[in-house]
Amino acid sequence: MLYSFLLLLAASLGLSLVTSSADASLLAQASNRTTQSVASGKLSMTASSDGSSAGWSSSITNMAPGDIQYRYVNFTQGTGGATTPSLTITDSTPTLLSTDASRGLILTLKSCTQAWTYTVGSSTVGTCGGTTTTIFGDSLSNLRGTNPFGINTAANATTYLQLEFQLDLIDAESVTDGQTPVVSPATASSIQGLTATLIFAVTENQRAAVKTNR
Amino acid sequence: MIKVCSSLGRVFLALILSCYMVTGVSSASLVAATNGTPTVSSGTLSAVIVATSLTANTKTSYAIGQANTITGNFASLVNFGTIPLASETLTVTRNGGGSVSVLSLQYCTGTWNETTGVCSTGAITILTVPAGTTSVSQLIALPMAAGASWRLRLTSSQTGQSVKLSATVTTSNDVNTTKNS
Repeated sequence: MLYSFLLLLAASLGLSLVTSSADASLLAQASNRTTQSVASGKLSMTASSDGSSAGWSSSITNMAPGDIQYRYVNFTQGTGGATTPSLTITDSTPTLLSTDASRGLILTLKSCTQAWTYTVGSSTVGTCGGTTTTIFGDSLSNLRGTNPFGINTAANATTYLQLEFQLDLIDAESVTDGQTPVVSPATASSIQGLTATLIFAVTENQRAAVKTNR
Repeated sequence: MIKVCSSLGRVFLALILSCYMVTGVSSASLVAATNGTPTVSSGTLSAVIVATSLTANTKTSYAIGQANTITGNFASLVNFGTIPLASETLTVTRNGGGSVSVLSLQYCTGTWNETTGVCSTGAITILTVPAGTTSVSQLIALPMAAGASWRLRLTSSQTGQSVKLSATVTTSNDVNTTKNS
């Protein structure tokens, strides 16, 4: 009986020793002493009128055939970087101004790597001190729809744009004593007194995802 | 058999999950957009000769029943269009009888005295219709902003002459504008 008791006690102590041995095991941990931040970029695009230019949202009125007006707009990218920018042009109230390829409006879009130099109200066309690129130049009739829009899509980049609106001077129209215009050729309609209600919609997508070892 | 079906099931499930993952990536891509909304309108050409009112757009030629040989007859050339004009074509046409009279159309760079028919300074003859000629047209460089006017004087060498005055403008008469705005 006594033997059995001693044996049980010895076994209990042994278990306790084993348990104590487990409690004393070592644990090593490592952590960054300076916290690491992970931030997402921001895909955004801001269009703003350059300087005192009326930009691309204010009206142009009373254009005569042969008239030209220049507007200046700056596009600035967000921090995210972008790709495949496009410009969709629509006229919500189509007239000859936007449907006649030979007698309507002609739109020319140029970009500059620097701000354009010009004087509002002056007939002297603005100049680019950097690199000029013609994005497109065509009749509004042909440009209606989606067009490539070659602006700088790098993060935080700014593209300086010059928009040229020209009313083409092709056919003659004469008006006697304020009556209905007589157009040549006779089958054509008058280009006078019309309005194009334009919508320039620019979209761009996020840049391609990247994988990098650092 | 059960094992084969189970393997095929896993492959099928993996394909479905991979499709969802691809869809998820696509719908999560970012798009930025911005708009510009200008309106662009064309103007109108309209030059009309009227009697006295500079606001009455009669849209017809101006008729003089009896030309006044003493002081002449006065009318205004008005730009009722919205486009400035650099020049206009004016036409004087005699209506019937009195073909021996000589008609003359003038403008004054100063001011007309319409009681005496005298120009304060710079009376300029635009055109003359000789005796025996029915009609004469002349392009004249009279700059006119939208809404502007010139006062004209028509004289006849003989009484009893009925005359019609008419104005025509074309797209080649307008003032073209090139500017930054």
